[in-house]
Formats: sequence, C-alpha cells, structure tokens
Amino acid sequence: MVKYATRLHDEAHGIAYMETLVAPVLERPERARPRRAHRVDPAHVRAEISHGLGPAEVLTRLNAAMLRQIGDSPGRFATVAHGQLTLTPTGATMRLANAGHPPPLLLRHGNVVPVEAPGTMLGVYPDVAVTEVSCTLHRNEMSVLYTDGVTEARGTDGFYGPDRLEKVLRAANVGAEAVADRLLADLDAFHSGVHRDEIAILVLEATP
Amino acid sequence: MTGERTAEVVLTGELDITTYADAEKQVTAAEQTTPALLIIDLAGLQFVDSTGVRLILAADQRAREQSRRLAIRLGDGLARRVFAALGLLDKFDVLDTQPSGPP
Repeated sequence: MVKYATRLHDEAHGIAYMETLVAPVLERPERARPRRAHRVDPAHVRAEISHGLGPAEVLTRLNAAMLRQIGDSPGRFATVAHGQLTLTPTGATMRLANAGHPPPLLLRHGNVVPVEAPGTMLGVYPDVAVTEVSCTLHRNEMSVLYTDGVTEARGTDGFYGPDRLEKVLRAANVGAEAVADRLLADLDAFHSGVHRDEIAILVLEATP
Repeated sequence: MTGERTAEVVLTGELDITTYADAEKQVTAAEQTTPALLIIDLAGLQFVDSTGVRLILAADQRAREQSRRLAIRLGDGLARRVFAALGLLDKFDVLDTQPSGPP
C-alpha cells in the first residue's frame, strides 16, 4: 500500500493539495486578493482522471479548461504536478506529468533523486508541452512533493534552497510522517519573518 | 542593435510580491516612451520568483496589444532557472540564449 503524509503551513491555501494527489500551486495576482487566485479545481482533475486519462492528458485538458475559465488574464497561471499511482506487489509505480512544478524527489536508499518531467505551466498558453515519465516506489521508498514556498523560504542566511531541502530529506529517511514533520520543523527553524508563499508538503511512502 | 527605437529596463535587487509594483512602474515608464522594441533585463536580479514571470507575461500582453516587440535577458542564474522550470524559454524572445554568453 501507499501511505501519505501532508503538511501545510496555511490550511486555507493548501487544501486542494490535500484533497488529491495533485499539487496545485496558486499563483496569486496579489496578496490582498487571494480569493481571486487562479485556482486549480481538484474536482475538475478528479473528473478527468475518472475518464481514464493519463497524467499528461489530464494536465493538457486542465490547461484548456483554465483558459476557457479565465480567458485572457495575463499573469495568472498555475503549476501542477500530477502523479497516478498503481499498486504493485512490491510497492507502487507512479506515472507523472509536471506542468512547471518543482520536480518530486524520490527518497531511495538514502539518496534524493529528482523525477524530472519538464512541462509548461498551465493557464496561459493553448499549446503546452507536457511530458510523462514513470518511476517506481519500492517498499519503504518515498516521493516528496512540495511547493516552491519551501525552497524559497527566507531565513537570516538567505533562502532555504534545494540543497538544504535535499540534506534534510536525506537525514530524515524514516517514514512519511517523520519526513514531513522534520521538513516542516526545519523550515520553521530556518525561516524568519512571514512566509511569503504557500508551503505544502506531500510525502508518499510505499509500505508493505 | 538595429536602428529601431529600443528601450531597456534593467531590473536589480529582488523581484517578488513585495517589489512587483515598483518593477511594473519601471516597465510601464519605459513603455510610455513608445519604443519599437522593449527589453527587460532580469539577469542582474539577486532574487526572482514566479512574480518575475507574471511581470513578463503582463508586459508581453501589452506588447502584443500595442504592436511592440518584447525581449528579455535572463542571464545564467536564478531568472533563467525560474523561466526554464516553468517551460517558458521558448515562449519569449530571450536575447541571451547562450548562458554566460556576451550580452
């Protein structure tokens, strides 16, 4: 089976992340008007998935739906990583498509391996190039999805950054809950002032 | 450069949600000089996030409405990584296509 753990810094803005195995990042036009953000509708994504479409096709259709919905509104866009998991006797396989979201990180034997699937962000261009990749989660391996609010968190020593993220994940390779907790705790310890962007973390773990 | 009238905005410092309005002011001020080509240089920014993309998307929209060419410089640091991660390198006229190349 696959366990998952999610951690949010701001429930109101990360809830869609929790609801599906999709990771919408909301690109807000202005802080003061978060409700007018370009929201990815999890119900819409679920509907596309229920049609049996693969991840790249889901994101392509989601892009078309967003364009219909918002029309010509420059500066609003969303990044989405969308994975579809299939359970196997030894873990799970994940088909992944990624429209501009930070690449998911695989935690495997103490290593941190990004799953690269380059793709165009959604909501602006009618023609998006979205590639699809597959990866395997063996038993006790994990996949960490996160918003760029993680790597762009600010501390007195600069930005959190991908290197520190990788270091923390490598040291915390002990179960989805613990990985999510340790990462969020380390972010809190690092960061100073107000978080400027959403922080949402989703950790998937293949378990026996 | 060619003989066409060009305006260039070189952004410095950090470009995020807190400095967006100021950066946009610089861009619109340059637009008001009605150049045929507007260049926005993000290469020298110490920090830029998706806010920078938003700035360029809006400028690109206005450029199309006002029949102006828009080009950008990304350097070989964070700005290029942000645009690359969002799949945008082929969506804009990026002047410094060779990272570390001459301006």
